[in-house]
Amino acid sequence: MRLKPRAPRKYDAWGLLWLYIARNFRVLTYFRVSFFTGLLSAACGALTFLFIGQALLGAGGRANIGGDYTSFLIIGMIFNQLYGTALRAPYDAIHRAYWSAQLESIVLSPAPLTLLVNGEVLWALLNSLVRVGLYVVLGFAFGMRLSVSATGLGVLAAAFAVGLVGALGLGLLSAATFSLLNAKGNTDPVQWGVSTLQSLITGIYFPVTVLPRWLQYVALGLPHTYALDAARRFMVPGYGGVTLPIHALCPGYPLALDFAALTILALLLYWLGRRMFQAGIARARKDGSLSRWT
Amino acid sequence: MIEACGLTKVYTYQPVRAGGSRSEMWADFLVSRLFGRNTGEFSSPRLSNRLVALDAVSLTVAPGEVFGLLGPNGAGKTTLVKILCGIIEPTAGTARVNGHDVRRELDAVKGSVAVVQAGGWLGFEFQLSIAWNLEFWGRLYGLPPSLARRRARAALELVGLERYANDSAGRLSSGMRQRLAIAKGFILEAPLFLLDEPTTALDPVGAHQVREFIRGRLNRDQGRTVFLCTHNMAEAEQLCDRVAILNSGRIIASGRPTELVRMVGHDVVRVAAARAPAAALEQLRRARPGWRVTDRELFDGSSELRIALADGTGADAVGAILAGSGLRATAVEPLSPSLEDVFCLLAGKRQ
Repeated sequence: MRLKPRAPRKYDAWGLLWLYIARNFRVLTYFRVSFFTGLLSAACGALTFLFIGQALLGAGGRANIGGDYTSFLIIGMIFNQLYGTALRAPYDAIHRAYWSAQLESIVLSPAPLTLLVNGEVLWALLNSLVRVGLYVVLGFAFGMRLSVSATGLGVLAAAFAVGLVGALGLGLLSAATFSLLNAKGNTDPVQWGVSTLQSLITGIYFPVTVLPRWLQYVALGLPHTYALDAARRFMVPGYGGVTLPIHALCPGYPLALDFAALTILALLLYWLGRRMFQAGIARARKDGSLSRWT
Repeated sequence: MIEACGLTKVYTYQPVRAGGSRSEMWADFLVSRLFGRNTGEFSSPRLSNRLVALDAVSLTVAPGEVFGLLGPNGAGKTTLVKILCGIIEPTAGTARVNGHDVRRELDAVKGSVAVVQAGGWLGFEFQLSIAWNLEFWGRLYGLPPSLARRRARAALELVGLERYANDSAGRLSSGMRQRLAIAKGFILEAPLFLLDEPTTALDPVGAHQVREFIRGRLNRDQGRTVFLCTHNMAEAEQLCDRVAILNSGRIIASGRPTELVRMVGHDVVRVAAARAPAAALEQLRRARPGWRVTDRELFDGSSELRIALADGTGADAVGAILAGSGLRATAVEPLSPSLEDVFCLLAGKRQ
């Protein structure tokens, strides 16, 4: 009996995404303590800023932000949480697969490696929703007031989604450094740089307008800045006006400018991230570094 | 099924210097560049070391054949397997697997091979059950859920782990982990199986079961082609239709085991000796450079020597020659040369 070579094996992308989620959920339930301590840390972080806000501005303070600080802060923290997750997840996926000796086996499967990354990102975002819920609860406990309308929710969803594409692009760029810069020690320059700047200059905890002018221009290089600004314009009562240097280009249309810059930046970063990620994998195949051992 | 032509793989890697930190290495590099004091050691601080893992390897494996790749540790066997399944890219040369080019038709190559890799852990989540781990890999390799479950159970039965199916993978001993790694490779049904030292770390019964499975079910019953890397000569002799001996990245001999054994072209004797002091053995090796002498000490303190008489000495003259070297042989028994003798002869000559 002789066997003929068959056509390449097929894969079910949605089935595999679900498989990653199911696997990671099982692993998560194995480490319950770490899950709950993580949640507690997130709550403490949020409470710190909420108390600072109350101490400096009083309940419902409006200084410098043009609106309610609690709503401002909670939206910032939600975006920070989800974009930070999209930034970290691709690197974490590759790092984990490499150090647990799974990367070679995954590369052998018919599914592309980007599916692994997408599966891990999807899981990490779902996992982050618990923290997002926690922030919302804390926000309401501290008197958060949101302007909820169909248009507002639409703008929020659109700004978040486009910003997520950009954050994912940065995440892929970060994962690419694993091979390209041999950044295998659980940290990489892209993730370090972006997460540091993200907290400092994109307007998560305080408005971009309070930064020195040159830092405001640096903030324009990250998609988070535009996504947050667009979302807050509809969701935070009283928030608006010229909040970013780019708005001076066309003062009557800050939202349109936000979306235009956000879309261009997000697509560019995603394209770059994907290219670099593939270059990283090609490099690893060439120098035999998909595994710890050659 | 496999056609490799001139496959070469050169690894470049960051050198690890004894007693020197990375900053010292960079400083040396800069000094060598700035002041022209380039010793050649630091032509690039990141990638100055090169290792030729494969050097123009050419081989052909026919459909339905069990082909053995023999070689000592570090010969390049695993590198060759990784190139053939598309995990790493060759530096030069070409290879076609099941008719697909390993450089250009990677997806087709991956879809037509099953790989069993050496090593005791290889990507299992220790928090999850053994069965779930195998199902996960089956699903990832494109099997529908119910089939992945069935194949996982069958693979566990094959390696004798069925009663541990619902236990956490973290509880397995190192030998059992190796069995699990083997089971992972056997979930798939591909025309070509690439087996990289599949019986390493298995107990004799487990190793026998796996060999039976390879020769019986995989090859004879299902007609699968098997590419087996091993340094176990008895295993290769038992399983392989043809073998190649790889040493320092080069194929130094290939053919049917019987043909290779004929290549030895001289007698092999087993000698029982009351005692074989190391000094006497060393003297014998120096006096008879054409002999390849391996020795082992038995429990009762006596020694057993295995001597390949590569200089044409007859077996009947061995006793007298040994006596002249201060070794008292109690018995000299002619043997048929084995693949191990071929391997020791060829690999030993190279080294």
